[in-house]
Amino acid sequence: MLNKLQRLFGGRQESPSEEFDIRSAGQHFAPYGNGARAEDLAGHDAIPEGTTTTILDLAAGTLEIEHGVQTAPDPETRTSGRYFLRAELEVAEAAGEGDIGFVQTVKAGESGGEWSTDRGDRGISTDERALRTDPETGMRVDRGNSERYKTPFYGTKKEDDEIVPKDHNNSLGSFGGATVRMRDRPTIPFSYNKKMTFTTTAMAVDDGRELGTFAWGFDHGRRWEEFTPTVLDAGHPLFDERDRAMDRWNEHIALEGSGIDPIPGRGD
Amino acid sequence: MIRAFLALCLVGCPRASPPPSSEPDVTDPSPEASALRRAVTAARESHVRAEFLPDFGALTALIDDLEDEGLARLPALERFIALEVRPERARQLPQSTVVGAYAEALRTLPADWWGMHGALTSPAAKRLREMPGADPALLRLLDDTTAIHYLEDDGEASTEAEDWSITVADLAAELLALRHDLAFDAWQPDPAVRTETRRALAQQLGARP
Repeated sequence: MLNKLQRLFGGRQESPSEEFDIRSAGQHFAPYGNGARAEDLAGHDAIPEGTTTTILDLAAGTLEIEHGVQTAPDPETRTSGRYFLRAELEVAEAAGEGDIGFVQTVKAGESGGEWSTDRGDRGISTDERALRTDPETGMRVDRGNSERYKTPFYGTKKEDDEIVPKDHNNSLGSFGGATVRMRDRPTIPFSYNKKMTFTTTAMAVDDGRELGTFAWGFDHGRRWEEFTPTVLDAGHPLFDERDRAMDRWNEHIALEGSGIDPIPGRGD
Repeated sequence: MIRAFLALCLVGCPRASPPPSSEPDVTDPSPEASALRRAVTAARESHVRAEFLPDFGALTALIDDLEDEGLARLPALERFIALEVRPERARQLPQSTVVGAYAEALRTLPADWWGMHGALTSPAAKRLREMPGADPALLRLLDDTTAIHYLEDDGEASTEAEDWSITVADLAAELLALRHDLAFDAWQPDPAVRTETRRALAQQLGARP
């Protein structure tokens, strides 16, 4: 499993023959719009629906993650599908203070191709999203709308200078107390092969203290491959990509006067 | 070739009753019709801005060659694409022809074409916000409870749209509110509250001359 994860995430390999280098996969890359059509996906292996629960142990507590395909895409009826992930972290230690939330980063692209990095690439149609995206790796902080939410913490919004959950599917946690929860349901398109990789970091809202990071995602190519949520160990290449996305948020999105909060604890 | 395309349009798209939808017209094999059909497919499946449509240059040249009458008689989504590629052509068309194209696009294309619910700031949305005579079409869409969907990759927007049951009616309400400087909270997670707000909005606007 670890080797598969590393291969699909572009991490370290046990076997050089299985090396997966996203930067050398460009020969399969079709620029925005010239990718597979729905008709091309009709013969793909069926995607198994259903979710499972994975328990991950972080130093700060236990992470429970329900994940899997909620609805498979159907090229015949031109209906997109949904991946599902719900994460809940109960932070055992009571040493810290204040709220705990999740900061999530995401990169996406066409299966077998490069990651989208620039405006006009698949999935990046707006200036705001392009600005949020690291041009080297395609990783960006995952917020539906930074100007509206004004905070990098997933599933939350800033209201009267307070970070609060934006709906009942998300909640902030506390040290030795409330569970921090998030839910994500990214689209699995019916019309093209898509791959997505996420990093999700539990973080103290006040000072940015990190409580653990896990990675997850999927590759909807000729075959469906799910990246089972896995704790990222220090030194994993995705940490660097995550950090680039976080720095980009602080430098290009959380601008002075915008009212948008930076990601705390990053030398700001 | 353009003349042949126009002739086919005249046969296939009678002025008195333009087609209600823009499903591919397989009877028209001309390269021009095919190009527009491909553009509509791309608008549905992969592209959410006109400037990124495949073969944008060729598409622009094709639309420039179309006379106003031919443009007006295109199926609604093809017309929408044409007007997004060449927005200035809207000035030469009957108001209802332009509004009808945008209403059909609002009803059937991925919601990314308008921005994101609560932030309808795309070029197409800005045009619809300022479009003369769009109120009746938008008011009719206040009853359209078709769920919206997004193509773009950030999971949070599409997660929210599904969790909150955001519909075409919500997009129409938001646009109407923006047009008239009225209140509509598209970020209200409770669909029942949004429904009530839409009703109030319809009453407010229905009372206007």
